[in-house]
Amino acid sequence: MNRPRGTSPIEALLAASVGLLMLTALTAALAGGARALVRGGARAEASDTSGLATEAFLFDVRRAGHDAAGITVTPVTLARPDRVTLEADLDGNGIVDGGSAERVSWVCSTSTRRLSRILGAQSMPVADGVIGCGFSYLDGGAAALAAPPGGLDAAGRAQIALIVLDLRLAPRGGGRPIERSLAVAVRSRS
Amino acid sequence: MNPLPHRAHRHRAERGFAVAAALLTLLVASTIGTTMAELGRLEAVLARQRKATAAALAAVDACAENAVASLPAGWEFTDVVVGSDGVAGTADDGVLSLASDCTGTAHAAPGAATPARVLLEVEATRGHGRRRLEAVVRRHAEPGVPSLLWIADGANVGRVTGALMLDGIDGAGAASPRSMLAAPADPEALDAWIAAQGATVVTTGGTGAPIWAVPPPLAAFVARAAAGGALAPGAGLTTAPPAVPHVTLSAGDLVVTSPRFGAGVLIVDGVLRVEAEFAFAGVVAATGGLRVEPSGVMSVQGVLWLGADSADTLAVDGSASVVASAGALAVADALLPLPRRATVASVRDF
Repeated sequence: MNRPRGTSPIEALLAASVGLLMLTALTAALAGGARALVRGGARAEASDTSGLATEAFLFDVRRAGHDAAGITVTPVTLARPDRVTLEADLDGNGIVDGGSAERVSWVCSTSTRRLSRILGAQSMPVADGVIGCGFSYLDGGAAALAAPPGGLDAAGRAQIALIVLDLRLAPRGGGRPIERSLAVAVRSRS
Repeated sequence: MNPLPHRAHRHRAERGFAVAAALLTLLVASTIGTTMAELGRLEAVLARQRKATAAALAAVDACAENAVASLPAGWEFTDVVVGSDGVAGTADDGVLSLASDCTGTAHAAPGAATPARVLLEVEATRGHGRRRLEAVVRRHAEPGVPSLLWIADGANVGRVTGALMLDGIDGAGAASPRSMLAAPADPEALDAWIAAQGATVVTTGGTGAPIWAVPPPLAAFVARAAAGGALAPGAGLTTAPPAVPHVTLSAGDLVVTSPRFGAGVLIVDGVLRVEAEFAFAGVVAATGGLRVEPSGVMSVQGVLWLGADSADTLAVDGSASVVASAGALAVADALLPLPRRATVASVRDF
């Protein structure tokens, strides 16, 4: 007795369905993996960017007021919630050269979603995708110094013992923002 | 007709497609996996580097702070720049007391001589990280050390068999509480000395615990007072209050046998022996230490600095008290600039 050769339509349909299901699952898995890779990469990039930004900020604040020649350098010349300007006599020539790295400004702009570092006349974007950014100031007793939009006056700036940078970055492609806060001590000359 | 070749051909084709599909899937999956692993590896490397940077930064800061803390108290930094031999251009110029994982030197700062300052260049290695910084070191704004007693020999503080009261709270000002005792010794050893005195040493609440400090520069202080035309004890101390602030210098031991009162700066180039009532507002310094005899009642509003030129730096068999007074200290500092600790004013990282 001869068995029928080939597959019946039902078998073919079933095989096709199972195949499609497997293919869909596989594609979904691969697509999910690819999405996770992209998200992970974007998050890692944002994390690195925020890390580099805070590190650069740390070194700028640490050297603020450096004054080998004893000319009395004011470490913080502008202290606003969105901008801080730091000065130092790095080469010890007795002059703070405003057109060089001896005057550094950090600017938070949430409208352009950018944190910038301005050296003299050169503006360098440090971080893009900024969704939250600001500077706050604390005195020697760790009490907050409320900086008005125009900035602290000279007496207020003289009390600054700590500068805090709060930064929130949105990774490209979405996802949970990267948040970093860094408080750096301003050297007092006492 | 033989169906086998056709079926075999079909099966070969299906097998080929399945293998290709499987390989493609494997390729995509492994690419994703490898990229993720590489991303993770890179992040781990970056994290390690940041950790090494942070550790090295902390190490170089610690090096600089330790070096500065061990600089002698004083007025200028000439002794640091030219070394202990006092001669420029010799091997000990700018030599610093540093930990084993640090290297560094001190040299004169550029620019004007005042304010007194010195440049420290320090490098530290910690793990795989290395950092170097330049620190500008100045004299602290606060005279002396933040302590009521500043003693040159922490290993041989002395004894209290009478009563010693230490009050580090300045009732008149908002100054930070002063420590009870500062000396070049482990603070725990100083704690132990305080504890060993039992009830004879009384400290008021809020007075700070003992602290480590470099010795007071009493020899230089004596020289400065002498050069500044200090009064002799007979002229600088009075027999009844109120006392007018002066700089008073005793060229040898000073024995107070009858009530005496004074203010400003009193420097004894020898032992200060108190056998009667003695009250002083300001700085009392004695290169040979202090003896308060059983009949003596000594009260100081300000600070007491004692050298180690004799067996016991401090011997209190009578009654003595030291109460913090920023005002008295400011008056003394105006009369004769007081020595100050070194402090880091600013740093520059390389």
